[in-house]
Amino acid sequence: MALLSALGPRLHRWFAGEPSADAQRAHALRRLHLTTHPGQVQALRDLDPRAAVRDLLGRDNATILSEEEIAAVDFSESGDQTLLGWYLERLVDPDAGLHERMTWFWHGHLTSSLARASAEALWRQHHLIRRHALGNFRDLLQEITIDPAMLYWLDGAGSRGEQPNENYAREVMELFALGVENYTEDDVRVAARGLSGWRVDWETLEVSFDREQHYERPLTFRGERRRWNNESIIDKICDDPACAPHVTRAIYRTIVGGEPSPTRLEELAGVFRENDLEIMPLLEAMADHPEFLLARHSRPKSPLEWLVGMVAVLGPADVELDPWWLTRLGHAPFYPPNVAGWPIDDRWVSGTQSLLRTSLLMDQELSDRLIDAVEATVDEVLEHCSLFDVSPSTRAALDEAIRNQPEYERGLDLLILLALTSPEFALA
Amino acid sequence: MSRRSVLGATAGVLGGGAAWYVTRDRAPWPSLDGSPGATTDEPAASGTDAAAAGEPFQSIVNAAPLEDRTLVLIELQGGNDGLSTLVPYGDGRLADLRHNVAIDPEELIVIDDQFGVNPNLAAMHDQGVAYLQGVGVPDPGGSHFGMEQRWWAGAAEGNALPHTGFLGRVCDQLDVGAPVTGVSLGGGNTPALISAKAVTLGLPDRDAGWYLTNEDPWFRSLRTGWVGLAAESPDDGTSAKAARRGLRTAIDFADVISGITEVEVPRYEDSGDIGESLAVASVLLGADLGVRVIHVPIGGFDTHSDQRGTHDNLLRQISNAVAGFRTDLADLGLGDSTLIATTSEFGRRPEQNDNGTDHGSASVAMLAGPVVPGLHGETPSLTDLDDDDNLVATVSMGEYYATLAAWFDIPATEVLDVANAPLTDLLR
Repeated sequence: MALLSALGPRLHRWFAGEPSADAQRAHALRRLHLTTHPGQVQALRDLDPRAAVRDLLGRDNATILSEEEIAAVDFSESGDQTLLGWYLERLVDPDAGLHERMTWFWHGHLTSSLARASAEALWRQHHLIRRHALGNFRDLLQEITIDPAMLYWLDGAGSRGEQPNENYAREVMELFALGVENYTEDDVRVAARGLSGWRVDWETLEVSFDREQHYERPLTFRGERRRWNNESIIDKICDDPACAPHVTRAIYRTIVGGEPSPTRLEELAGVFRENDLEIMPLLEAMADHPEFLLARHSRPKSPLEWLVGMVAVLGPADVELDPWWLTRLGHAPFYPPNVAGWPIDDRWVSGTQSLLRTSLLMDQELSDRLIDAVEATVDEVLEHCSLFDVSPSTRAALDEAIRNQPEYERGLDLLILLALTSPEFALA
Repeated sequence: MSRRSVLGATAGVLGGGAAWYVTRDRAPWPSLDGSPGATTDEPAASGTDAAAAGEPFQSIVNAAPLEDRTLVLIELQGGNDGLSTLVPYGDGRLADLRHNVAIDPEELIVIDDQFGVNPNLAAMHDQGVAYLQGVGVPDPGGSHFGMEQRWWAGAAEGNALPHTGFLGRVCDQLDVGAPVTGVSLGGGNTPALISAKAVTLGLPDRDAGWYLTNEDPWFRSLRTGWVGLAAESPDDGTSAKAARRGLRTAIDFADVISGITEVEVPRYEDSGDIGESLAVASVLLGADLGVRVIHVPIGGFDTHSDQRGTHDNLLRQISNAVAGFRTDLADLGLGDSTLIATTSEFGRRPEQNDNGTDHGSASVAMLAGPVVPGLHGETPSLTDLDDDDNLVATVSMGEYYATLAAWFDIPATEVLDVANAPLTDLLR
């Protein structure tokens, strides 16, 4: 180790597998917010990494619109673009914090899609999610079950008790609340009847309940015999012992990355359950724990996280956002590939993603502001990109690039492009 | 040049025209070194010489050399309704089960007094299609994701899924070190193509990678930088390794795509996204780059509601796409060496809901190319249904996949966990 120490503290730490305090602060920002904006790690330097985590958990950075503000937006023309454009602005805002992180998480967990619902319906659902993103899971699930976009997306709208549509009944158990091993085909049939009777008015998006079309006779659902409706079905699902672990695991995969150990899952699901499925106490238990800070790079960044990170580096005020980018990267909000949302796996760092991300970078230009602010040196570029403790091969690649490219502007371009396509920048 | 980055400046010049398509009028298809795509010792089988000389292509039954054989697998995502693909109109039960979803027998392309083909499949049907009935798994589930996983992984039982995909393992068997052996077109990456050693790639976008072949010194520096970034570091975690592998694949792909220019799309009339994907497939196969397996996903088959219009549109697009594709293959002399086959995670329930169908089990697979056209397999009963009121499969996924493997002379035991026997009389 003497030799490694002689190479300098940065390299030594990297080999020892113990991230520097800045690397840990950057990690906390990437997971609890959506990305690190330049300067945010530095602003946390007064706090040790664990205290930085608590600081990020404690910030109030929710964007919640009033009913009037929500109603004021016009979706009559290019509704998709309006919706995506508004959301993209929010996602890349340097002030976007835990509330944005969890709003995005819930959209990927309780999916709905423009493939079946209108932009205005998705807009309203988006604000429903915003209201509950850090609130209570049961409230969120109750409301989204009879949300117009969801009723269209999973065919609850118009489902009649005598011949019910099973789509939502299955997915609410399989994907949203319980897990594929925790429901039966019989559960689907009964829940579909309990959830029947809802209608949506296409024009006004008003939701109404039609008792005539609801299944009114008693049925046995998960051991209980009674007359069921949407509220009692969802309550029964939320009361199920499988609910807290299922939702906890889903959040864990995003916030911590990977799968929790059985003990840790039990512990966290216990916190969630004891707090009546309140989301904030679960997040605090998850992040304010030594395990969280050690989980650096435990999963790839999603294409959206990568994109938001890229915009942060180039400067949100200087980049002309194009919602189409996310479609190209296979991660467009409001267009999940299917009802399970976007999977977290190594496809996010595949050759395909490398090609697409680099294509996208080729269409960007550096702003004068960035050219003035950042020296064309490897250290400055890495710090600007919040890349701390990079691997020797990454550093060597950047060192060589700048040696071969002494011309200032083209050198800065080259370094930033390499930093944004580096393996480290591809990891969360 | 203004004080602007080369990223933007060069993209403007190069971004538009640079892609890897071959134009239609540039036959014969060139290989990378500019020589004709045909293997010189098998000119008759590849047909390139004949095509170049303007002679009509002559079908050579059963004569495609093993090393020339390729597979194009079209995945019908969402669960294709087999009963509206190959319609058992002679069974009076069908009309009882489906009062407004069944196709009017008078519209069908009649096969015999029992069966008719969906009229939207006319273009494809006229060129010869093998319809394999009753394809499914012994103990089906109702979940898209559970069943897709089984089909992607090639594990009929759904327990102990292998890490690789069925097509990925086929690629491993076919791997001779080609830069890319398996490609997914139109949907990005797919678990079906996850391989152990062969390189596989998903291409959602047609002009990915133009910058990889640019010879400007700046772009060369960039490429050198990427080679450096792709080099492993001793302490790489799993995700970092995957990220470096992704970069490596992108760089290798550059070698494949150099020398190929643009193809025009849309190419096949009224053929939707799948028509674009198959147009690209014809180019990849015609250019003889070592690609042996092409996966083409097409979504939208989850027809819980408004089934007729949706399903008819999808089948018509597939039919037009496959018919155009096969015409191109014949022109390229690849008609007998390219097997086209479909999969779907499940069929639909025989009994309809309001105006759609819920998740079912067995469905109909379609095969084209070197196949024996007509009906194959045993017809599932519309009366003896399983516990979920779904069809009982008569051909297992394992038998079907073993048949696709047999096309490449790969024993089922090499790519499946059960030694299924391939179906006889299906391929010719």
